[in-house]
Amino acid sequence: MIKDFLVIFRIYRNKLFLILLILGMPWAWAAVWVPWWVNLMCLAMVPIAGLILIFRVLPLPEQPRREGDDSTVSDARIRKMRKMSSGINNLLSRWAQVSHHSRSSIEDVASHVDEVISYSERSIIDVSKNFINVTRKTRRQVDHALGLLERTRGGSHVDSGSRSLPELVEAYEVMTRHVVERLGRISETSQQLERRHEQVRENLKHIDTLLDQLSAHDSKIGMLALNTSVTGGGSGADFVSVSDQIRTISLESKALTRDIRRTLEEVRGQSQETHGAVRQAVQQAREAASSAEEESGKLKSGMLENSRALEQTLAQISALGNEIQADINNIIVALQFQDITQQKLQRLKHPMLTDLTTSLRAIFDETRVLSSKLQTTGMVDRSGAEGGGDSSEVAKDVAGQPAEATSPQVAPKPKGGSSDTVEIF
Amino acid sequence: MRQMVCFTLTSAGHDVVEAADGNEGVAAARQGKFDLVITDVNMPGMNGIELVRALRALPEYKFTPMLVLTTESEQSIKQKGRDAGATGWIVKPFSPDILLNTLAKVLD
Repeated sequence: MIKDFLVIFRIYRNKLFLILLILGMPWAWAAVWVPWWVNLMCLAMVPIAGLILIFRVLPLPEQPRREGDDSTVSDARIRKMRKMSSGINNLLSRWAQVSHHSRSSIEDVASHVDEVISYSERSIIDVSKNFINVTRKTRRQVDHALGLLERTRGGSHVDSGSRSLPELVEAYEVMTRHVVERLGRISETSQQLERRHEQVRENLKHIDTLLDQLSAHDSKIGMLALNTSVTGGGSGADFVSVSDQIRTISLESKALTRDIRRTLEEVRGQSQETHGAVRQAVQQAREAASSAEEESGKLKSGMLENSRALEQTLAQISALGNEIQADINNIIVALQFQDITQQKLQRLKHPMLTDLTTSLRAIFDETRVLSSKLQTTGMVDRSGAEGGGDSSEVAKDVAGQPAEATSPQVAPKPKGGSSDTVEIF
Repeated sequence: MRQMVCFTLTSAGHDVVEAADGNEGVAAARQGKFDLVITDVNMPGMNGIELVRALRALPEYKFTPMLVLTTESEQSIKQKGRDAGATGWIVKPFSPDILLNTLAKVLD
């Protein structure tokens, strides 16, 4: 619309003052206080001024014929051709403007497409590299885990210096069995000791009984002595009787004493045997403790070594896990480029390409209209301009300049993590 | 993108509710109260800045932290986000660690 006004302005700029004068003069009188009939006259002058404007001022002045003009062609036809040339000139100037705009748009599109391609390539490369890293590290993790499993199973590749966990467990079982066996022997010895102790107790009880008997004999002797002193040296028969009794008691006491001695001998023997058994039990217990301590030390060192190896393997697996996490983070970052490129393409599609298409379509329509007008006037060969092919060719020539030759190479943006990545208001 | 953010947050132990666009986000926000809102700027229908503005209009989200994820780093768009009531701005591409650190900072 503005362009049309500009074109009209360019054509009639020499007559602009006259046009304004004609249009404004009738109303200039009306601007001040005048009688009513003056106003009526001014109103009557408006159509007259309009007619003068239309028929005398606005028509283009007739151009004088030029030297190169064909003398056989009439003036009217030359004017018509010049008018068409002017229209074509306007169209071409608009074509030039649109093509200039289109060229810059296409250059922008080309640079954005380059950027998108660069982003895509880089993200694909990043994703691929990180996937390879993740796969490689996962493989190493699996190897470590398999090594750990092999160690747990007690495989053949285990170092000669260390024992596998099952071997250690088996060794613990053997050690425990030995300790149990030795404790069993100690228990048997203790039972023997108990039995001997019981025998000693029986013997001591027997001695106690014998000593009671001896004490009873002693009482009897005392009673005999007392009876003898009461009778005061009685008859000889009584004396003989007492002496017989004393002899009998003496013989019994002797027998009892022998019995006590024999019993004491038995107790001594049993005591010696008990002593031997106790020494044996102590020796067995000491040996068992020493053996258990030695075996326990070996097992302890084996367990510590296994724990260290396990810790080391788990640390390696954990470190690889952290590295895998970092790689996955990188993959996530690289995958975000897909989102960025998608949004960039959307921005390319709208409004840049949409505007470009709209402008080209408008120009194409105008060209077709002009072409049909030319065909209608008969000033162009109808067969040569059939279907508007020429205008399409023109459009192609103007807008279809090779963008690669002029589009600047845009360097890809730096990867994320820069200081302006995050901003908290 | 949404799934990646969801994966990162759930891996870090957060409970996440997803919404496909701004309108769905507002509907989800009306149904429950969330501690934090993360949105992209470019979304179909209601964009991220409009979403922030709509949520800020709700009384229960007046002081809720809202982070905006986008490829845009122009100051004018940032200013629009700030005016709408966004708490922070994260420019893509970003590392998951950056997202989690920002989250912790904003939730503190």
